[in-house]
Amino acid sequence: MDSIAKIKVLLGKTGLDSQNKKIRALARGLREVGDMEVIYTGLYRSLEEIVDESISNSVDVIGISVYNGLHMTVFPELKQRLAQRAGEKIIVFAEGFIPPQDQKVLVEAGTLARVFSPSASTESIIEWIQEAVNLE
Amino acid sequence: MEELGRKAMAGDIRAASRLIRNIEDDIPETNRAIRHIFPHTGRAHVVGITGSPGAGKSTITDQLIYTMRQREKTVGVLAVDPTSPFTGGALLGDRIRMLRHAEDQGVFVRSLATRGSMGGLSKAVGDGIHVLDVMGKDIILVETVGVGQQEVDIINHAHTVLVVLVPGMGDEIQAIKAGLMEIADIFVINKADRDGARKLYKETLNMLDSGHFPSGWRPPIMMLESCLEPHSFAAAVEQLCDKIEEHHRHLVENNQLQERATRKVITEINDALRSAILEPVLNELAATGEFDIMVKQLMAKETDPYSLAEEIAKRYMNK
Repeated sequence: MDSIAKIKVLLGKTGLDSQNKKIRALARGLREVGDMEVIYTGLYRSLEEIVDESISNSVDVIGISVYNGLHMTVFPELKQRLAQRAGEKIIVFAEGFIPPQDQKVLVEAGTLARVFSPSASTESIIEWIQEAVNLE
Repeated sequence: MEELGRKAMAGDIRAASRLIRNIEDDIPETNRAIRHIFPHTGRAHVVGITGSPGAGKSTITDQLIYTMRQREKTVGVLAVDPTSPFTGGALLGDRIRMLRHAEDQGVFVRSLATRGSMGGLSKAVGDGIHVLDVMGKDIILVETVGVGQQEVDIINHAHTVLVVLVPGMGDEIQAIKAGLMEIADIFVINKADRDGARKLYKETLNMLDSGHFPSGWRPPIMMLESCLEPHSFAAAVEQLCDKIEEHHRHLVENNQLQERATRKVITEINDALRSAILEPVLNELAATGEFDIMVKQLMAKETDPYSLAEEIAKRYMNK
């Protein structure tokens, strides 16, 4: 019998950004792994809702998909809201279109743990999540 | 762990979430936290909501939260999601609608993934209810899918049980016969504007007519029409909420709350025994590889399950 503890991941999208094909596939993929539980928030969530759902479910990882260019606003605000709710230890990653120079800024500031481009494979994301959580 | 229990009792959402997470992960020390909070439990009115997937449980729950908040009750929600038996993973979050209460401090919504086996789910739900209870929630809604034995076990933790039916699912009545009939306190026919609602209503009514109700409570049948008509839907859920309160009053006035509480503790001790006795044995058998050997023996028809079980029982029970 394998260990019962699982990695909890919240995946979601915020604001009016409705490109959700990749994040839905990812939710499905993570579920199939077996050692993860995925909470998919669906579209049009406010950051407040995302943070609340993350805290009330004690997630380990948050993955937000951003395709509308608002990443420089979304992620710092998300991080700040998490800190307000004592959730600064939650690992946050991004999926979507984020220019390399912005990626660099966000990752170096510790706002994001990692950015995955739309072409990143589900397997690579799964592997990264497992490693990142085990390092904690 | 006691610290988490204490914080949860003070209403700390993060501590409560963590505690429930530990319950899900089945961390043994969690029992200590439960020991700490157990004496303070038993205040909340626990309402179970069950029905087939797609019956509209989440929508009803969402509206119930709203109505109960209007009535100045604080609400905790445990939404139980099944873990895939094939991969062990789970996709939660089918309660997107409920997020509208995210900013309300009087509401705490929590998904509970169902892991492990054999009553593990029921135990997690029971403990989860305790946590919400000591957080001071007046009403705890436990939402669960389906009508199997596991769900009946879960529902044993509730004081008031809603069974949600929808027209056009032929197996509904069969499912009820199979066990939920005894456990339903209120029947809800959702999507009652659809074809077949009258028929379903009549069938449920006939079934109730042939039942007898020693408790003095005959389950009412409530009809809810499309949630896309917000006003009529809200009004119908108001009535449903009245019925829930009426049932609670009935339990209190007829000393039946005690019976429900007894049913709850019986379930709890059963779950606790299972986790203290059966699970360690099974884990050990699995770890030593003996379990696989037994499976092979059975496949080869060298022995039978009962002889094997007796053998194991003798070894572990010192008799």
